[in-house]
Amino acid sequence: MPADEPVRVGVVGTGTITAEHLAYLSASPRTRVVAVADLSPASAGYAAGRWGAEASYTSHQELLAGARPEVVHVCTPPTTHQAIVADCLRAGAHVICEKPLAPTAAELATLVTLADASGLWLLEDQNYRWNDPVLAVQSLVREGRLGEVCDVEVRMALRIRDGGAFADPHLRSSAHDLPAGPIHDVLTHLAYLGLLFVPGAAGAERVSAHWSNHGPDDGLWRWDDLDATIVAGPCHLRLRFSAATRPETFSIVVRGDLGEAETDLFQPFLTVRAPRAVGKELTPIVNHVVNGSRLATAGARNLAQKLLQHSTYHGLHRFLEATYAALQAGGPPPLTRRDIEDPTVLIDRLVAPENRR
Amino acid sequence: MTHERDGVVLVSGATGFLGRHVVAAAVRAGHDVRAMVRPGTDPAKLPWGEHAQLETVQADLRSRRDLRAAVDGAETVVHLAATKTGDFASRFAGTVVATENLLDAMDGVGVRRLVHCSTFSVYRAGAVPVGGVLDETSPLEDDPLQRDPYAQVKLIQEEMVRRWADTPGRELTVLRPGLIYGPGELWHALLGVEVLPSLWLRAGWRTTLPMAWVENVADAFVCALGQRPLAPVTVNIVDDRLPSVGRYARAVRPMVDTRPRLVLLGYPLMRTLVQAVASVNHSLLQGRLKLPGGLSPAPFEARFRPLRYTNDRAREAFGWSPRVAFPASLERATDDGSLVRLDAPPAP
Repeated sequence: MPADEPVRVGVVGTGTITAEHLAYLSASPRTRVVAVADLSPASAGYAAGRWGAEASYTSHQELLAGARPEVVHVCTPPTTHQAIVADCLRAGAHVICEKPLAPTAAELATLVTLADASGLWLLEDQNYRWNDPVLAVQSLVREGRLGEVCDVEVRMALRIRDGGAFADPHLRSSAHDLPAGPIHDVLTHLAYLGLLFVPGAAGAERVSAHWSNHGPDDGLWRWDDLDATIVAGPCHLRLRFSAATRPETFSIVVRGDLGEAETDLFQPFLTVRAPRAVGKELTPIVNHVVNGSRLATAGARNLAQKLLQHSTYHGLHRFLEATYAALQAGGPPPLTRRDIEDPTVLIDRLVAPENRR
Repeated sequence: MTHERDGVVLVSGATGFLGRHVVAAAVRAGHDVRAMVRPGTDPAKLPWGEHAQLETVQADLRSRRDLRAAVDGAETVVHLAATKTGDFASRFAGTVVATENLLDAMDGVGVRRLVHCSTFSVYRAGAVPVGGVLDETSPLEDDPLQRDPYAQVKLIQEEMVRRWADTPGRELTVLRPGLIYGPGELWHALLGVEVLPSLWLRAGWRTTLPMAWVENVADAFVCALGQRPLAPVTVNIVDDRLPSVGRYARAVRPMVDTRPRLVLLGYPLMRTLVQAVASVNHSLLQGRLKLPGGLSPAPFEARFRPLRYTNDRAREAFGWSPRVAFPASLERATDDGSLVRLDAPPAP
């Protein structure tokens, strides 16, 4: 792929997340949006006009044939990914797909085989890997401030039963057809973030997943709550999703044998309780003072970031920049094959009947 | 323009704030009405009760499935459905894609007459001189991205129905109501900018509110059904003797649960502040600063610019006149159910 020419990109699907993809693609000198496709002509036409795409189509097949993109972003509902991604790969396009790329590891393997056979990239949007709080905690781990990581909790509380597409009683979301239902739509995030800090979790010897439905039994929801524990050697990983608790949160707590760090991706902050060069007695006091100061600063920073539209999707822009930079430079993609496969393998295990509680 | 009695009138968005009144008013006017309700709607909770001229059909406009069957046999479609909450994509799906699907279904079964509900939000109020009259000839917003998502999707929607009406043989009437108030919808965004739930900034006290009582708007849609326009007709719908912000706020304040404190800054001062912030945003922050809707220039002007309004064209085109006036309207605001029940005598 020539480094001095923009990459020809097509985008399939025009939902909420597509605007984030197109915001990057339309602004980056690395890319040229050659087409947008959506089943709705109005949606495709609007997105093309809004973001400067050169053409719009009402099917991904038409987009592939008409615009011949080098890369396709698949931003359609997860249950449609399999067929669309396969068609894109067969047409010779690299694929960047929204999560979950595939509902099961077996289906993912089919697509991976197809991509490998064609020498094409197949990437899943794991945008939160590039968010500031995650990078900060990774940095602490790399520096050894927390010691050996041995206990990680990734927790999301989201009011998905109180409104929005998943709770819509009039037009049933296809997310209910995913193996883990609507939780599956966010579970990929929990899984890859957990795997960042507990890399062996996908092959862990002990997996226990409590799936519950705490809301009303309205015939729509199978599960609205997950409490999973994965024990991988000396490391414990807890993945937690709640539709009932407040406030809405996306927290990560990483505990090591020296200290612990806590952060949140929705309302970012970072607190660290780790050894300091002030002695055993003063360390907790200094940690509290420093963390108090960090929290106060985070409040002001979050307000500024909210006003300046530094949203929780900033990691997506970094992911795409890293992807296209690598693509143009002929370097490796920013996600390894294992980065993409392991979360799906782990989710497979969480929904497997033998591991369900 | 000719005057005729219609066949079946299909009403989309029938259970919405306006829709329930349009259905009731159309049935009372003698029309056979098919109320389109969404599939998850509990039939026992429909507001009208049983009536020989009323049938319901379940369909979701965001999906083409079952839509043609729902529309088939209708003579006229009154299109009220729109999504007013959620992110832009949700509103786009529930407003623009919904309209696209509806028009496709109408074409599929040969329904050629549409009465469409637009809004004052499509106007570029800032282009009308302060104190001037905003009417059907006023310019439409030409930079939608400066406006809120509601205005953006309603602009796209209206443009879509106008394109549909370009085909000969199709009949289109567009009603653009001002802010519709009624039971449960008394405290609204034209009264100020919400800074905190308990604190709103008010841009004017004597500014005239472009409002219409929900039953009056429903009457206007029924009047529109009685016309057969030879070319697309567009009319604004506002009441007579419109109240000022101050008069209205004082009247409804005792009737609403949430009573934020209204701090008066006045239109000139607020406009200066809004423009100053916009200038800083443009020159120093590359436009990245995102403020609450009413504190950005275009939405601010749309909500608070002191203008005058007229319903002359609606009177002339339809013979419509608002039968419920402010403040007597507020006496009817306590019980929405009695206003729309069809199996009981109408509220006086």
